[in-house]
Order: sequence, then C-alpha cells, then structure tokens
Amino acid sequence: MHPALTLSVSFWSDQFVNGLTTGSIYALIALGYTMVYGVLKMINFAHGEVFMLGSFAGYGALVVMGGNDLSGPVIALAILGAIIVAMAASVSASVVIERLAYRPLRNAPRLAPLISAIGVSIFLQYLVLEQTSARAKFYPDIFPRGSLSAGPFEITYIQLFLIASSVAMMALLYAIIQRTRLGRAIRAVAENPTNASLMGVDVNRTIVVVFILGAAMAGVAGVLYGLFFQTIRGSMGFIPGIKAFTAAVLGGIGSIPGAMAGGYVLGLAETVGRELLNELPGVSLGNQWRDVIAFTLLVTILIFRPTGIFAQRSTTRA
Amino acid sequence: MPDRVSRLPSTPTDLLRFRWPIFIALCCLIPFVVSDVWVQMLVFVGLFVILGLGLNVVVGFAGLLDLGYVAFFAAGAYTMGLLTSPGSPIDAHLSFWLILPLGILIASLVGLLLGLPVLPLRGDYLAIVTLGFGEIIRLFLINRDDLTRGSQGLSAIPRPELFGYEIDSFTRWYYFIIAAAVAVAFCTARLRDSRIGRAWEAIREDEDVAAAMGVNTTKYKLLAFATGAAIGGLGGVIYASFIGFISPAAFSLQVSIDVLAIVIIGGMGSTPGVIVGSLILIGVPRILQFRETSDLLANFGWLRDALNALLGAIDAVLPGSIGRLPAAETWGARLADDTRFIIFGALLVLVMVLRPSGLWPSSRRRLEFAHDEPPAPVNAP
Amino acid sequence: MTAAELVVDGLGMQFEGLTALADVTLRVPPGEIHGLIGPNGAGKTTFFNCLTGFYRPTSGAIYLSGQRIDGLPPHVITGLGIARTFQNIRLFANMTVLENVLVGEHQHIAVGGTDILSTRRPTYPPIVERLLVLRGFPRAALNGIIEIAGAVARPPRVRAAEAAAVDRARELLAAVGLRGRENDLARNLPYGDQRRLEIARALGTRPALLLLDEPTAGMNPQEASSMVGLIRRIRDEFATTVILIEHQMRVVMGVCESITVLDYGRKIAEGPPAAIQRNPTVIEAYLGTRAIQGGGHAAP
Ligand SMILES: Nc1ncnc2c1ncn2[C@@H]1O[C@H](COP(=O)(O)OP(=O)(O)O)[C@@H](O)[C@H]1O
Ligand SMILES: [Mg+2]
Repeated sequence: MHPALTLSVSFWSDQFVNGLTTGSIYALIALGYTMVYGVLKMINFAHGEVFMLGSFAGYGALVVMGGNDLSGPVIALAILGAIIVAMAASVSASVVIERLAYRPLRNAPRLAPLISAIGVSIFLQYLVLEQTSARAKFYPDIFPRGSLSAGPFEITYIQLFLIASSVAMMALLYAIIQRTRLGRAIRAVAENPTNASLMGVDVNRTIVVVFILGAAMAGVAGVLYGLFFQTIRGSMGFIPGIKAFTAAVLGGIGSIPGAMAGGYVLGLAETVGRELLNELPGVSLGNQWRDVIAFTLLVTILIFRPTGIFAQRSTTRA
Repeated sequence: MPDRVSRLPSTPTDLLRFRWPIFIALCCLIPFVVSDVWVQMLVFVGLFVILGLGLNVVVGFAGLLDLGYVAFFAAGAYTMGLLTSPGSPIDAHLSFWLILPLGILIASLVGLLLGLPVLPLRGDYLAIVTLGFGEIIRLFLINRDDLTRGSQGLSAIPRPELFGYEIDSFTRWYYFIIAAAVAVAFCTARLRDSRIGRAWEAIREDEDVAAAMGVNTTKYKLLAFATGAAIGGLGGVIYASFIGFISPAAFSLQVSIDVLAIVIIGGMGSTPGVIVGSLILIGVPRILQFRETSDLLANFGWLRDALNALLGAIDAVLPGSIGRLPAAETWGARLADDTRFIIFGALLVLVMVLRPSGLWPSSRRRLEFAHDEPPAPVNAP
Repeated sequence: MTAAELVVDGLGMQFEGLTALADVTLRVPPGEIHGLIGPNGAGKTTFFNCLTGFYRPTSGAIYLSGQRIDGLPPHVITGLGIARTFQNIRLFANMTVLENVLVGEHQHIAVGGTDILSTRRPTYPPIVERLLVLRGFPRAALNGIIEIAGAVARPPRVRAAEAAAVDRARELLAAVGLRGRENDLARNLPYGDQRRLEIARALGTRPALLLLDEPTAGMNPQEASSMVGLIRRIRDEFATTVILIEHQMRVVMGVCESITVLDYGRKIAEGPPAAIQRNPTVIEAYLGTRAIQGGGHAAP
C-alpha cells in the first residue's frame, strides 16, 4: 500500500509555497552567477555581497522615506523606490568591481580572477559588518499583512508579491537576452569571445552589461529578501550566494532558464524535500540542516550530472 | 636571458646554501631574548606557517583554489579533542603521539572524500564546494552536540610528552612548533622538486596538456588535495593540544581566509613567502595588542594628531568623506577583530592586480613575473 | 617502443548540430609518415583530439596496434603510445625547457606509483562508470602514498630514476636542436624553438604514434625544411609512426609517404602525394582557398 504521509495537506502546501518563495530569491541571484560564468567562465564570488549591498541600500531608502511610519498607498511607491535604489547600488558596485578587480586580470592565469573575486567578497562583507558593528538591521515592517487562499494553498501577500515580482524580473531579463541586440551580443560573447569580437561585438562593453543585468537582479532580490525575512546583516550574502550558485549548477551553469529553474528546484528541495526526507523512518532533519541539503545536492549533481539536471549530455569532456 | 637563470639559487653561494640552517638557528635563539607574550605570539605564527605550507601545496603548487581549508584543520583538532578530552563521549585517553598520525589520516580521508567527486571536474567548482564544505563542517560540529558537545566545546585536552617532559610552557611549545614546521617545510620542498611536483605544476599551467603528456590529472589533484588536508590535520592536532580547548567557533570561514591570505599575499608556492605572510598577517595584529607596543606607539601620538589634522582638512572640504585614525592603543584589538579581514580582502585584490607573485615569491615565480608579456595564450585544442 | 599501426573505423564527431567529422575510415601502417591535409575547419585538429582522447567520438572506433582506444582517458592513451603537439603551441610556459620534457617523460620515471590504473574502456552508462572508478580507489591510494613517500625520502632508487630521466631529456633536447637551452623558461624561447620543444616533450612520452599539428606553421622556408629533416630523423631514430597536419604543400609532398585529405569532416581522398596533387576532387576542395600546387605558401 502507498504509505500515507503523516502530515496534513495544508502543511505540505505551506512547505510548497515557502519553497517557491526562497526559490525565487535563489533564482534571482543565480542569474548573475550563470550569466557571468557564461561570458567569463568565472565564478563571481562577490555576487552574494552585491546582493547584500542591494539589500542594505533598499533598507536605507526605506528608512529615509519614513520607515515604519509609512502607510497607505505610499508604501507601494516606497517599495518601488527602494527596489530602484537597491538596483542602482548593486549595479554601481558590480561595475566598479568588474573594472577594478576583474578586468585587469582578464588574461591572467585562471586562479587570479578567482582569488580577486574572493578578495572582493571578503572586503565587502567585513566592511559592512564593521560599519554596522556586526549587528543586524531590520527592514521596516510595512508590507500589508494578510493572505489569499485557494483550496489547500494559502499564500501571504508578501509571498505573492515576492514570487510575482521575481518572475516578472526574470521574464524581463529573458526578453532582453532573447529579443534585443544587446542580448544577441551577450549570447555571441558567451559562445566564443574571439568570434564575437571579430563580428564587431564590443566584448568589454558586453561583459559590463552582463554584470549590470546580473547585479540588477541581485539588487531586487536584496529588497525582496529584506521585506520577507526582515533581518539583514553584513554576512547575509554568503549562504544565499552559495545556494544560488548551487541553483545555477543545478540548472546547468551558463543557462539562464536553467538558473531560474534551478533556483526553484533548490527552494523546494530545502522545504518540501527536507520534510519528505523526514517522513522516512529514523530521519529527523531540523531546519538547521537545510544548508547541508543544498550542499549535498550540489555535490551529488557534480558527481552525476556536472552539466546540470536539464542539460543534454555533452559529447565532449576535455 | 641566461643571466636571469643564473640568479636562480641553483648556483648557491656558500651563505645561500646555509640560509635555512642559519635561519632556523636564529629562530631557536629568540626565546632567550624576548618575553613570554612574544613567544606565545610566535607559536601562533608557527602554527599558521604549518597551515600555510599545507594550503600552499594545494593552491601554490597545483593551482587548486581551496576555500574551506579550515575543514581539515577542524578534522585534526576534533580527532585530538574527541579522543582525549574528558568531556568527550568517546574519550579514549590516547596519547598525543598516537593521535597525531590518526588525525593526519582522518583529515586526509576527509580531503579525499571531498575531492573525489569534484576534482575529476575541471575548473572552479572546487572553490565553491570547499567554501560550502567549510561551513558544513562547522554546522555539523555545532549540531551534533551529542558527540561534540556543540558550542560548549571540548576542554582539558592534554598536552604531548616528549622524552619525559610535558610540553607545557610557551617556550617548549615554540620549539615543538618549529620542529613541526621544519619537518613540513622539508616534506613540501621535497615534493615540489619531484615528479609529483612537476605534475602539479604542469596541471597548474595547462591541465589538458598535462593529461596529454600522460599525467593522470585526477590522481595528482587528489594527491595535492590530500597532502594539503593532511598538513591541515597535523596543524589541527597541534592546535587542540596547545590551546587545550576547542569549540566550533574556532573553525569558522575566517581561518580559511587567514590561511589563504598568508599563502597569496606571502607569495604563492614559496616557503619564505608563507613565513613572511604569517608574521605579517598573524603576528602583527597580535604584536599591536602588546602593552609594550601600544606604549611605544603612544610616543608617536603627535604623528597621529598631525595626520588627523590633515584628514580633518579633507573632511572640511568634502564632509563625511573620510574618517580619523583611531588611537594606536586600539589598533591591536581592531585588527584582532573583523577589521583585519577588510584589509585582507583588499590585499588579495591588490596583490592579484599589482603583484601576483606576492611579497616574497618563490624564485621561480619571480622569474615568471619578471617579464612583461602575458603568459602564452591558452586556447582550446 | 616499436612503431604502431593506426586503424580508424567510421569515426564521427558531432558538436551540437555541427558535424566536425563524419565516417572517417583510415589505416596508417607502422612506421609511415602520413599527411593529413584539408582546408581550415576541415576537422583535422578535431581528428587528433579524438585520437588522443580529448574528445570522445560520437561514433566509430579507433585501434592502436589492434587495441581499441576510443573512450579511454587521455593519459591512458598517451601511456599506450600516442603523443601529440599542438597547433597553437601549448607548452608549460612557466616551466623550464628541461622540465617540459621531464613532464613528457612522466610515465617513464620509475619512482613507484603508476598513472594507469585501468585500460578498460567505459561500457556502462556514465553514472555507473563514475561509481566504478571508486573500485580502483584503494589501489590508487596506495600508489599515491608510495609515490609521496618516495618523493619525500628520496631513496637511491628514486634518485637514479630522476637522473636517468634528466639524461634522457637532455638527449631528446639535443636531438631536436635545443642543447644548451635546458634552463630557459619555455616562454622565453623563440617561436621555432618552441615548436621543437613541443616535439621533444612529445618524444619524452616514448610514442609509437606521433601526431604533429602544423609543426611548420609560421616558419620561414629554411626553418620549415629543417623541420622536414627532423621529422624524418624522428621516424627513423625513434621508430614511430607519424601523422602530420600540414598546410605548406612543399613540406607535405616532400616528407609524406601517403596523404589523407579531409573536407567538411569527410575523407575525400587518400593516396600517395603525386596522386593527391592531381586528384580533381582535392583540387576542387582547395579552389578558392589556396593553391595546392607545390611550393605554394599557405596562410598559417
Ligand atoms: N570543442 C568544439 N566545439 C564546437 N565546435 C568545434 C569544437 N572543436 C572544433 N569544432 C569545430 O569543428 C570544425 C573543425 O575544426 P578543426 O578540427 O579545428 O579544423 P582544422 O581542420 O582547421 O584543424 C570547425 O568548424 C570547428 O569550429
Ligand atoms: Mg587545426
């Protein structure tokens, strides 16, 4: 007989919605990893910190605009403003990082940009920790409470907003990559930088554009994270950064739709997947093991399908 | 061009030939002239020299970026702690000398387990997997508190005994650490100058071509990783015994950053680089905390006042753009704290961009970077 | 080693949508110097990459002296006797000339520990193969420990093996005309010498089949003709079969005993130089790209 799950339907639907929520954030961040990897074949370790900076910038904007005193329809404008400020901050940081820390190393040995990136990541993380005396900041609690329900599914407004706006951002990005000249240039550089430059693509400019697009997504993710989890701190970029990279690998690094799908798969694996594991006899994984789940998933994927779960099998291995 | 080569230490003068024995002898004299706090500081420096030499095999020799080196350090330390601390559920009262090889073995097995899935792959996956793994180890240590006593930690870890003497004073530890560091430096230098070392270097230069020359790249990457892990484990066993108390807090990402910074900033692939790196990155922040140092620095308060006046002038023109130098007495505490990582992060970038060979490069690397041309382009076959 | 016979049967190599090699069948007898020509992008380098295990062919089979080798990893194939040079020179730029050759000799330095743990071709799905690798793990680990111990303790056996390897490397360097440059960094060699060093390094692996990818590219006629002499000497002194990708027709016609022509990944002709030169299909394939008639210089 099919073993019955011990927990209620609403429990599982809650886990599902939670998975989609965190998955949205992973997906947004993963896009930056995967696009930079696509054009530079490099892990941008500082991307988690770009996300963190966006979150802090959004926080600053909200506080300046009135913080917890905001009410009524102004809130929508304030959040929009915070998102724009966060995107601007993340984008500027990312452009500066690319110019100062990565571009001079474009032709250096493979290890050099990687070490430089980890340096940037450490620098930014501890700079913010120092400026905040390693204390957390709390996003204004302004988002309207309440929830919608459909059948067993119940979703809070903030979750709905988070999922909807990240899907919208990803759709926008996808359209840019697929439909515009800029997108064609990015795809050409990702395929083969030498050929692209022969065909008249400005490779340097295209790489900057890639950093800008990825950082913009991370900035949005930063504000969404803050609105949802409320607590932000200087070290907040580290774990989501690794997770988002895992998501990018899950979906096949370099692939944009793959990164989005990978984000959601990972989000669901951490919530629904963990609870499913707990249904097994003798298994009891507390919430603190969710990072371990993501990591185990990463290593398992690397063993069995280094090209990602969605990619076709590659013919080459060199 | 040939004269460039003749500067290599392959034709050493007599003094150059004895530079290591002389250096070690000088090190051995230090405890006779400085106070105990200095010796204690140097024990820490020596410990990080050992860790740096280990990571150097992975990063400097084989060109693999390991961002979770602390995991192996922890493996060694917890082998020691779990088997000897009275608080541990599996305390076996084993002697330090039994645990030393065991800790090394366990750390290298952890390294192999981690490297096995990742190392056959090309590229940067290792960096992110090790980064994640370093965190996982810490989570594991905290959460499996039935075994590790979680954040309470394990205490009263015994000290080694040697020829009937317990190694209990800072001076004795100092000599012990020097002996260990010399042994490790000897081993890594021998490895570097062997077929293994050449295979590592070839992999670092061009992995595909190394394979085409018959090098089993997976095997050698695993060997580099396991060797580095073994040395990290050695450092962990020594650390646990020296400190006498371990808890997960001591095995954070920051240790990995410290060791990586030592290797990169000191000079990749270079033993003197690792020593210089440890002295500057680990030693100086501690030295600044000494009473004598801050007393000394207090004499130069006028210099800080002058600089702050200058900074104030800048601030007057561009308000809020610039801070002030904090009082010298606080530097040590600040550098012992998170602030030092801001500097490390910036230094890692600066070294990569401006001086990729580090402060004290290996003679070979110095040669490499003596030329302006970029390395030969590496294209797909 | 004695010169090897190469048999390639219906070799195909596909990159997402692009067919780089299609149904290439070829036999090179032991000791022959065989030319491989064709316009740019014809698939010549891809052919070498398949032979050496850089690419896993999508169809067909490759036999070296009767043993099937396709699907084996590159270092195993090298151990079985195939060595190569690269079209775009790929030396270990920051290692010395001597060290480059020593890396070539890697598998022949008897310091304990082998690099080839299995010559079994993969037969199961990749997932299973990845797990099967673990079977060899204990042996590999023991191997590694022995090698590390030898490197650290450096017993007489290891010293002797290293010394013998260095002697042999010096001989090889002398054979290609690089005596006296042993301690230079490879990157500091002039261009022509870098190509020679690539050959010396390949010879270090003791090949039974040597693959040379455009060894005279970028050379002037004098350098090219001295390279021709070197290639002949290598075949005679080192007892290898040689396959040579070459654009300079004077070189091809002068040194090759037999020639295969590739175009768009297909073999369009095979035969002795004189016949190839007259072959209308070959002339057709080269029309508009470059003249095939003797002496003409091809773009590198
Ligand atoms: N790794 C690869 N991925 C995709 N296409 C490749 C790859 N390697 C070679 N090709 C393609 O295969 C064709 C043959 O290339 P190649 O073998 O280098 O030609 P050549 O005869 O000039 O040496 C070219 O169209 C090239 O673009
Ligand atoms: Mg070619």
